[in-house]
Amino acid sequence: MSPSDDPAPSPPAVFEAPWQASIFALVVALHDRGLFAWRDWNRVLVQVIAEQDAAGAARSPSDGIADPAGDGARHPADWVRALEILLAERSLVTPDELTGMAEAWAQAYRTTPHGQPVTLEA
Amino acid sequence: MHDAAGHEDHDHDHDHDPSQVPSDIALRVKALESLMAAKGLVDPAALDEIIDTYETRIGPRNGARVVARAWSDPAFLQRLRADATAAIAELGFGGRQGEHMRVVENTPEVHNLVVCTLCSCYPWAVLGLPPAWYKSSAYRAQAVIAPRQVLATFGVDLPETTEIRVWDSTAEIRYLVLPERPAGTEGWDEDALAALVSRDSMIGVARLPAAAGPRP
Repeated sequence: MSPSDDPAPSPPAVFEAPWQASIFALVVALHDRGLFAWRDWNRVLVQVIAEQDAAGAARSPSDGIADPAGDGARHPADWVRALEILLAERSLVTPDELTGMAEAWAQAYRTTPHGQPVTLEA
Repeated sequence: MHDAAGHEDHDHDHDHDPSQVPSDIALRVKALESLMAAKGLVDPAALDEIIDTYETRIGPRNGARVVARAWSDPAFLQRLRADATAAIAELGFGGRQGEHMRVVENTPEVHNLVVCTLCSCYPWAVLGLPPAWYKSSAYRAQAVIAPRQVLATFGVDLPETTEIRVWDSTAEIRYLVLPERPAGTEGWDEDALAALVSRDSMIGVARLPAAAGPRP
């Protein structure tokens, strides 16, 4: 991170599901790798939040729009969308790749018996 | 298809249930993770390290409250033994995925260890997020085959006379280990007791040390 970069975003006080911790860790790791600056991240996140707010009543206040923790952390679903957009902007991933990979994981879960590790076939 | 987890001689009645498919948002995160890893842009081990950094803010310490209540209130302990899901709900904690909880009690004679081959089988609404090693294939396999050695790697050396019971969480039943109450905590209130209860002790890979000093 360059000295002039914006400060890193705060994680929520409590992650409410494992994927929320995963997306936070992924964003931090990709930033640390130098793929984007926090100011770029913040720009995209602001855009996502504005789109979500404009989309209106799809989410309830408990989804985090009201920022109940008061620490600036928004709903982690916004982080997921923001990262998808940011990586696509940089041609690091395409929407088709994401859709295909998500479906591959869903299929892996559907076809793996409980008790076996769920992995993607290489 | 079978890995080395020794499922044949372990009592499994859920071997052929399909694994629970995560929510759409969780799948999108998994897709991002695996694509970034495949492209060499992120190291999965680095992600685990970052998550571990935030362990203390991961998940409510609900499980510790349950344990502290069980140590303090014999009637609650009885209800916990009879129907853990309902007893835990008394404290306002519920499984978010509708899972049933079962509490297994450690005693001087019996030590309980929880394992599951899937992170989705971890009662994170009660215990918080699973530690990275909980999902590792080494832990999953070895906990079933050689639990005593696994415990030793965590620094838990049990007498040969202590029976070790390994519980494999399923999509339907999640286990919570009730650790033994540490010596030297007589008269402590529930807040003080709950502060002693570690996540690892509720998985069964740690034993709680005797209280080091007077009640905080």
